[in-house]
Amino acid sequence: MRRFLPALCGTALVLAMAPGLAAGSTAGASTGNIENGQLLAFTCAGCHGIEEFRNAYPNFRVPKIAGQNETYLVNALKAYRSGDRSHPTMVAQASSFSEQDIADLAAYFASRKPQQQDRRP
Amino acid sequence: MKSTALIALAALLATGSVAAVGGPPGNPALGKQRFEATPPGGQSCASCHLESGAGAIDDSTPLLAGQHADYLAMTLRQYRSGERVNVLMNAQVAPDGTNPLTDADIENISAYLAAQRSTLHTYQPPRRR
Repeated sequence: MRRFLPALCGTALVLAMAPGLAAGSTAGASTGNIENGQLLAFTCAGCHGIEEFRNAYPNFRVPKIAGQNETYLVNALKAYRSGDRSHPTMVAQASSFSEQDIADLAAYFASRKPQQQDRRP
Repeated sequence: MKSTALIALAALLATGSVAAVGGPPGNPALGKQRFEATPPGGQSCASCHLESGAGAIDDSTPLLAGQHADYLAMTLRQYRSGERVNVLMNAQVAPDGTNPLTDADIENISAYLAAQRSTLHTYQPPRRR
């Protein structure tokens, strides 16, 4: 435990600093950091990154979000975080997002254009 | 007699299950008409979501062209019932709104929009190098 504690404190410190680091490096006109958004988007790909992926109960295909308008995405994530939108998985995901995380994710998904994924070397 | 009742019940259940997954498939041509129609005293869908839903009057308005039809239909039903809150959408598509939508309208509009081209697409994470 004694050896474990400093490591734990170190991790907590890094995590506490991370949002500040992300907020410090903004790109373009948007306040979202696209590079950090890409890192955060890892989890999103589990559902939004699969063509025709279906939500169960109710049954519908999860929406396409790449190339969607940035402010719309910000508002959607904030609505899930506050519970104004009720999808259980999205509410659970968004509950841990900071303002900056939401800005970063929205900037990243809005920046994804079809040609980016079609023209691979 | 018993079998007739069973067949009727089976038919009823079959119809019910179709409705449960989003109703009958919509008619894109009728959907286009409805999407572009301006009701008296109201605004058309296209006045904010632009032609074929492939644009938007501002960045907080979503692109709709190419979105999944079943997701669009679910969203419209939620706006209509008030389950999903958006002041503009609720005030329009609700039964007492300025541009009220029937079940058929919702299926037709959703089928139309899903078939349109846009920059909206399924997210594909970049490959790791």
